Amino acid sequence: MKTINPTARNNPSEDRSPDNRVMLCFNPGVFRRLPCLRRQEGGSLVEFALIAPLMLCLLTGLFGLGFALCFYLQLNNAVDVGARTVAVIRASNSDGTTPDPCAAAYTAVTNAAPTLNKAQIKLSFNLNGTPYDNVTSCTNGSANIIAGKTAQVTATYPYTLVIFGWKPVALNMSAQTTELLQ
Amino acid sequence: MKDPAKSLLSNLLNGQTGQILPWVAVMMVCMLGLAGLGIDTARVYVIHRQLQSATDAAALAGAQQMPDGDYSGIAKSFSSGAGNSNNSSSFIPKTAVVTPLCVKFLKDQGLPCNGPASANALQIQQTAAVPMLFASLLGFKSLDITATSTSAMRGSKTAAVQRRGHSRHNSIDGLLRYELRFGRNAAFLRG
Repeated sequence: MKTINPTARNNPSEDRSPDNRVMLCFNPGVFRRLPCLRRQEGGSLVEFALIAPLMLCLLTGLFGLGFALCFYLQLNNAVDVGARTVAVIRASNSDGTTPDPCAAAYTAVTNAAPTLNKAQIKLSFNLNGTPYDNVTSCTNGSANIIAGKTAQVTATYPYTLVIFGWKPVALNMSAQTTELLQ
Repeated sequence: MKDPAKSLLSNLLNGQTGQILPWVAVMMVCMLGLAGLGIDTARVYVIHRQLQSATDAAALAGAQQMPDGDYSGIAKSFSSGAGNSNNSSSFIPKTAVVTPLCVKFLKDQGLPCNGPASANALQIQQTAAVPMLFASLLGFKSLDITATSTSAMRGSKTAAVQRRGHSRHNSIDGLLRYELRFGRNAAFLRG
């Protein structure tokens, strides 16, 4: 049974009952005429519904960013491995000849980055000043494996941040290492 | 008289309206702070990988010039930093520190410590200041990271080079041919 503060009857502003607090806050006549709008049950659900999309977007974005950084770390490590492979590949065949440096580097890079999509890794080389862009092998590349010259390996990998179908950022990650040919 | 602090706590705990929004506001600050810390840490790992790659390349390049060549200059040219081969715009590296070493186990394998520095290996150490994105809000403007790499110079027993008619260390070509004859003796150490 609802009890009414006797003093509040004369001065409604002193009535602290939950019903009256709502009335004091909003006070328009519609709240008085439609009591269903004054009910407080489910308020938390409404607030959760307001916050949930924001929180889910934030969490999904953080996951996406985490994956991007993980892939970038792998790409940097893989390029380092690839460049090292090229740097020491001179005359490494058993008969003293030099194997295809680009193919060897491509294999080394893709093996060093197992969670990256192989088909999307683009490798470019600059061997002793000769560029080989977007290749997985370079037949004449071994001719440019000359001790004391430089070999530069660049890898790019595309990554698109997706948040519930929304694609705010499309990245093209790039990593590069230059080594002296041994 | 009612304690205002108790009243606020009581409202927070017992009030039925607007409970989630203030809590989310407070939690959001914590979550964003932790997320920022995670992102900054991941960036540090990525940059450390880049710095390590540059330092490894510098150590290998410098060791190839040992013991008589300009190993220090070549090593620095392959390190990270403005104008060098492995420069990166993600961080601000300090000049690489080049230290010739006389490593005992290499000496035991026939790689003598000679040349002006009496060394058979080269150690490169490079430090970089990584600017913080989110941690800077908490007062951590940058974090210093260090990468160290050690590489052995080429070559082995002197006799083989003399047999080829080259003096021990004054010909890169002689050293290279020597390396081909005896395999790759260069040990690559990462520290």
